[in-house]
Amino acid sequence: MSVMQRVVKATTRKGKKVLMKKEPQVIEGPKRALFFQGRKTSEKVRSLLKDLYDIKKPDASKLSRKNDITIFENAKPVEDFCKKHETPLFMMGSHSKKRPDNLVVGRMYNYALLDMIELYVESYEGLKEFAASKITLGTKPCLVFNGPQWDLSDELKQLKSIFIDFFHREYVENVRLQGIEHTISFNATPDGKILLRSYKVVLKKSGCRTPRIELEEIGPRVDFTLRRSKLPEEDLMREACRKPKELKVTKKKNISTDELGSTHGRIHIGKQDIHKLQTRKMKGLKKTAAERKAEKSKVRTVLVVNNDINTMKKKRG
Amino acid sequence: MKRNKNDYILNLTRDNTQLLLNKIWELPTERVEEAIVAKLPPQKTVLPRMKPVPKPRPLTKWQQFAKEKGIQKKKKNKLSWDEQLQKWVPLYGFKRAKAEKEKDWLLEVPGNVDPMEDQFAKKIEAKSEKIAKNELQRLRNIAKSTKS
Repeated sequence: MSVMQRVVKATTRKGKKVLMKKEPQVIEGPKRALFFQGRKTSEKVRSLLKDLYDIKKPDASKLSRKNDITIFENAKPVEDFCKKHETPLFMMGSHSKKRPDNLVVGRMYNYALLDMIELYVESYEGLKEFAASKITLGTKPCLVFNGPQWDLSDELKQLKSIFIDFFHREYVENVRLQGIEHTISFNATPDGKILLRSYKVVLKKSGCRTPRIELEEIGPRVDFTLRRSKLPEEDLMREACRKPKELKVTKKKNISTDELGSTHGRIHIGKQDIHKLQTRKMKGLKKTAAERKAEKSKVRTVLVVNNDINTMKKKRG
Repeated sequence: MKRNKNDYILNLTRDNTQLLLNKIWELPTERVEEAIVAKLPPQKTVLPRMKPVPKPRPLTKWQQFAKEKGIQKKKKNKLSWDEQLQKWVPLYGFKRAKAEKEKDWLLEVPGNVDPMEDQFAKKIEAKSEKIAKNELQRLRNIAKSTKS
């Protein structure tokens, strides 16, 4: 027998539930994020982490200790963290002479690193520095990406995908119109900066159905520049983006709806056997009593012969 | 842009948000518990999953064998009539162990074994071995399913 893998078996019902929750699901909930620090962190990056944690809040956890991690050299400790906390997204702050005010944003797939991008926090103004009233916890923001650069380079494309993943919270079918109260805008400038701004949305009457929108900046206000990045391997990304069979929309064939809204279906009927068709009954075509008797006895003899053959076969074999 | 960067971004974002919300307000709406909700179109942005797509659980070794041989599970009655005890005895569970005890108050010593050997202890051990074997097979099946 080969070497057995250790099987984790729950001893309690609650433990079993926890393990079941960790198994792959067809429909996944909101992605959780983990915020933590590297070896050394500047005050700037620390408070930025805190602010982004506040924005992401119900789906986030934050670690407060320092960690001896250099993520671009060895990502294993981060993978372990993310596995422990069940968080596919992470944000790590660090500060060194070579790379001051450093922020790494990345994500995991199946507890292994998928992609990450390192950003330099050039300037930063926190949530506290803006006087405007804050937004409700857990609202889904509008994400606005300004600038044609977002679709030009691979890094920015990936960063856009990461930012959407980070802030979009969850896929929903419906959205409450009055509940839209937060906009995050990401601006890519021609000189290679990425400017993050966050606004509160104020809906005002405009006279027509759609309201007029006013924005109030609530912070944080951050200017990033790109540093190192690790783009995902193509195979892994394709694997990660696979859609479950259950969620794929299959095209329904032979069903159509006309202008009046009634549904038409086209169905397939097998070939008709003309010889067994019941035609009009007539007295002249009826069988006589003698004919019917003869037919019946014929069937019976055939059955008897069949039986005999079967019993002979059984005796032999 | 250079001098008044923040105001420029504010205005740009305001216009873009206005465009986005105009589109949302055009969507079909319905009323759910005193709130007006808009039905969003299906998601276009492809985002990676957190974990792989769940696979169907692989067959256990026995299920695989039964499938190959075409063995089908037969349904058994929970109660069966016991001639010796003259009563209905369940197949398993409540009252089964008691019935077994009543039946086996005496055990025959086979001719070819040591007469001083405890047949009751032997029977208990045989049963516990059977349980252990089943547990091992169960774990092996789980290990096989998690590996692949």
